[in-house]
Parts: sequence; structure tokens; C-alpha cells
Amino acid sequence: MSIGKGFECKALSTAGYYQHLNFPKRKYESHADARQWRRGVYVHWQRQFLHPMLKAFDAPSREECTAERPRSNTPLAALALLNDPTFVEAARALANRSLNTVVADDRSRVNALFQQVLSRDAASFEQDLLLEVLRENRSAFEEDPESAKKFLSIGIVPPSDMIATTELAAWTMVARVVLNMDEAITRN
Amino acid sequence: MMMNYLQQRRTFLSQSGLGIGSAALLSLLGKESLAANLVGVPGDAAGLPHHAPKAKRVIFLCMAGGPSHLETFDFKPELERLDGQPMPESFTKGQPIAQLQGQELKCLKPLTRFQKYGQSGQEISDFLPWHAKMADDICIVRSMVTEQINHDPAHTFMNTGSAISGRPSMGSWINYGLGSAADNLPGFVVLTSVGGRNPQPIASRQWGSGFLPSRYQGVEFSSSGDPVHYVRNPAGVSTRQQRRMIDTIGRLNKARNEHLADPEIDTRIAAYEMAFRMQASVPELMDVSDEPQHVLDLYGASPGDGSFASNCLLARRLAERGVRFIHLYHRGWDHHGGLEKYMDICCGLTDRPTYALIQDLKQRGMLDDTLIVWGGEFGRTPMFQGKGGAGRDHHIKGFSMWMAGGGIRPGMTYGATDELGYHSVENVVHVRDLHGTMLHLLGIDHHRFSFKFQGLDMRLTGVEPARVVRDVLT
Repeated sequence: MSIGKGFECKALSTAGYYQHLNFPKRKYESHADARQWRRGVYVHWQRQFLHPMLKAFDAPSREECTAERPRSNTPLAALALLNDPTFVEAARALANRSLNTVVADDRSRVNALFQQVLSRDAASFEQDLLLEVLRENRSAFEEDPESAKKFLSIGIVPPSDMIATTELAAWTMVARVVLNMDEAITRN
Repeated sequence: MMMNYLQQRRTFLSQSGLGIGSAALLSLLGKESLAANLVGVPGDAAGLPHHAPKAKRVIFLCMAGGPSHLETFDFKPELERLDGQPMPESFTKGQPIAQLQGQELKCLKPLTRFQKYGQSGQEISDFLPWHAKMADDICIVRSMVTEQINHDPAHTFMNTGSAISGRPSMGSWINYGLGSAADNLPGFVVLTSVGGRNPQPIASRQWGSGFLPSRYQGVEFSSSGDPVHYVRNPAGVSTRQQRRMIDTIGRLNKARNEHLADPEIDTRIAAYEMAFRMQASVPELMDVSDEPQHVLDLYGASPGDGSFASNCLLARRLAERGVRFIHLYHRGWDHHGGLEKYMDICCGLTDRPTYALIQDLKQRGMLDDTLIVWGGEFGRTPMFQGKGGAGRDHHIKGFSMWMAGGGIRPGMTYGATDELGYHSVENVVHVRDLHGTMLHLLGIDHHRFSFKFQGLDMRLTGVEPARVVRDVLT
């Protein structure tokens, strides 16, 4: 999917996001195409009622100039990074990419995924922790393949049919862990 | 030099960055049992409270749109006499006017009757039969004034003490000062409902934390759909899977912090732990199935309907869980026309639940340390406006609010407007006075409660005169 320059992105959001607005009353429709993955600066800015993800990360309302943007570190930001469908889909894309790479074993794949996000090798205890996440989620999703399907249907791109559902779901959980590390969220 | 900078930065962060989840962090370290005792989250301001508080928490019932004082708590027989006649220019000359600008200004009589209620004999209108039953519980202030005549700036003024947006809302100030007794919920929670005439928008900055640390911003809970954005696990992920994932994230962060010693990472760990707890505590809070039928009936609440009644019940549940500032907005009070019809709707939706909230808190022994505030961002003109039947325009020079609970003298009326209900003339209470009084009840001296920003000691009550209204205190 290709998009032109300057198109705004209406990021995924929960139902009723616009319920507090009036003059006119309106309904928020998120984009269901590649615009969804544009950088945050292209995200549609509803000044009176910022998108909850933008708000969780201290985006200014743009009603007046902001000389210095605060950088908070709150449970609301954690909830967005953990559960916002945009971030869940990003984790799936990362897992998908990782599974399309040829490597020797799970341990090397964990390391490659780590490299991709953090530009460094995972220490062996980090690899162990992530392999544990992988094992647990493999068995959880193998026991309940319907849940794996549901999990992978989050987002707008259908999951790849080249990769086993439980495998992609388990690796998506690994990717969620890495993407939620403090080191991945901020360099500050 | 760099090291020095880092040291300073870390000292700064360690002093300012740990507020949110130090309680959650404690539990992460295995002290889970503390949660049952509401250890809470400390605030950032030093030396608080300044004196023994009368109230531990605030429930602010904002009747957004601006209810008419002339059809609720301020009976004006003289206005009845002058009905349909020109409004005397001595009242209106040079005064700010909203939508009636350039129009002929005529008096509009009170569109309902008033009676005296309770032992205190407070005058309350027939639109509010349930308020009438609690006349002896509330302190009616008939002499409010504000400075902003349109909705959004008037809300901004009522919430922050300034019409300039970007200042902290009072709920943020209070959490900054005192922290919160809730350790698995935010200390400042907002709930909204709609019903009445053409609901005005409410901007999310009304519960913003301005220049205060953003962890003190209000969090809106929605009583229909997901109560908080992203509070549910992604579809297909069990609570156990999510728990283990957050544990792993915590362990990875903790390991990294062993050689970085960055307090922001501690805060991150605590924030994730709090986020996980909120995933359980927020749905538990919103699920009122454990409330007995007689309580639901008292409020007139149907669970999950998003009504003011449901929000009042949730306000009590939030108060029980230690939330410091609970802000309810009911949008629908902007009665430029069809005032009688819309008063029936708005009062029908809010009158009884408000009574229920007060009674419920009283029965639980919580009214004594909970401050309840009721009112709009302004009042309405004694003059007629006719946007679809008789109504009234925005009015800022005199209107009514009431307070009840922690430290407030019950069953009294304070202050007065002139004979036409235009100007507050006796014991005038400015919005800043309301803020000062609220802070006083919470144990805070508003003169000494400030935050350095842009070289100034910023205060909720600003630099213009503000007083604690001692006459209404017990």
C-alpha cells in the first residue's frame, strides 16, 4: 500500500472517542490502511480531545505554544504501550519479520530480535528470560489456538499464513516484552 | 562536568519522579499485603498538610452548561413582579453579556415555585424535590461570582483559577499536595454524563495537570465501554500471560537499572506494576454487581448506562477506594431556551442521584470527611432569552453553588444576590474563595501552596485576593 505525502493518520482508538465533542457532533473513524503506520507527527490532532495515546505521552494540545514538552512516565503510558492495538500490531510485525529470518535456533532468534530493537546483543540472562516467555506462551497458545487467532487478528493486516498461528502468537509476546523495555521506549 | 550534570539530574528525578508508584513498587518487592491498608501514593509538595484537615477527599459535581440559580436556590419575587418589563439599565449597563448582546433585555420571572425545607428552612425550588429532602445537609452559597462568561473559559477558570489554559486543574493541585490514598487507582478521576439541552463540549485539558508533573493529571473513566483506554488485555491474551509478561519486563528493567541507577527506570517499573493492577482494579471498580439492589434503587442507577446516577454510585466507590479528587460532569445545563423542559430533564437525571450520594456517604460515615461541591461554571441571567421557548443567557455576576460534608456547616444559606438576582451583593464568594476554602478543608493554606514555574510561585488561588470563607465552616 502506498500513500502520498502529507496524509494524516487517524490512529486506532476506542469507540466513543469523540463523544465529548459538539458543534458539530461527529464520529471518529480510524484509517484502515497504510496511513495507520505513519509516524506520530502525522496523527490527527483533535485539540480539544487528544487521541488517548498522544495524551498518554504528553502531546501538547496545540492550543498555544509549548516551549518545553513534559516527559511523563505513567501507568497510562504503560497501558498504551502494552495494550493499544497499534503497539500490539507493531509487535506482531516485528515477530513476523523475525520469523522470516533464517537463524540456527530460538536463542539466536531472540538475540536477532533484540539486536533489531536495541542494537545490542542480549545478555545470556536476558535470552533466558525471553526464552522462558517464548516457552510459556507457546504452550498457552497450543492449548488454546482460538486465543492465538484472536490475538493475531488485532490490527489491520491479516496475519501471515506462512507461519503457524501459535508460533507467531508466542513470538509476538516475546516482541511485546522487548518493545516494552525501558531501553526500547526511551534513550533518556 | 557531565557526571555532575547526571548526578543533579538523578537527584532531581529521585525527588520528583517516584511519586506515582512507590506503593506499587513496594508491592512488587513482595509487600502485597500493604495494599489492603490503602498505603496510597504520596504527593510531591513538602510540609503538607499545613493543618489538621477536615476533609480527606473531594467529590465535585459539575453541572456543566451553567444551571439557573433563579430556578434552583435563589428565589426572587421582585423578578416575578417585573416579568416581561425591561431589565433596569442600572443593573446591566457596562456589564458583560454573552448571547443577548444588542438585544432588548427583559425580565423573566422564576419559572417555578420555591418552598422552605428542613429545620433550617432553606429555600429550594420545585425542580429539586430530592434536594428539598436534604436541605439540612447542604450549605447553599447564593453569592458566587466568576470572571468568564463562555463555557470553556469558565470551566477553565473554575478548575484552574485562570482563564488561560495550561494551568493545573484543582484535582491535580490537590493530588500534588497530598498524594492519594488509592494505590491501585489514579488519585484524580473524572466521570461524565449527558442529558439536557445541547451538551457543550468538555475539553480534556479541564483535568490537565498543567505545569505540575503529568502523573497528577485526571484520568477519565468511561462508564460505558472500556472504562479506561487500553485497560483490557489484548484479545486472546490471558491475565496470567499478561502478568508473566509484565514480570519479565520488570526483571529486564531492574537488571539494567542495577548498573544505571536511574530513578526513571524505577518509576517505569512501578508504572507498569500500577498499570497491571489497574487492569484488575478498574473493571472491579466499575462492576457494580456487588451492590445490593436497594443501593442501586437509591441512586436509580442501571449499571453500565453511563448516567449521572451510575456516576454518583461510582463516585462513592472511588471515594471508598481512597481516590482524592472525583470530578463528575453532567453536560446539559445550557438553557438558553426551553428552560422549563430542560430543567425537568436535567433535574430528573441529577436530583435524586445527588441525594442518594449524600445519604449513602452519610450512612457509611464518610460524609464527615468528604467534601461535596455542586455547581456549574456560571449561572443564568435574570433576563429572558428565547431560543426555543423561554430561557436564560450565561451569567457570571451572581449565581448559586452548594457544599456539603467534611467541615462544612450544614443547613445554612450564605450570601445573597440583589433583588433581581443579578449581582452578588452580600458575602460575595469568588471562585478563588471557593478554591481557598476547599484547600483549607483539606489541610492546605492556599497562600503557602505553590509550585515554581517560569520564575513564579504559581498558586491555585493566584495573586489576587482570595479568602477562606470561614462563615460556612463548622
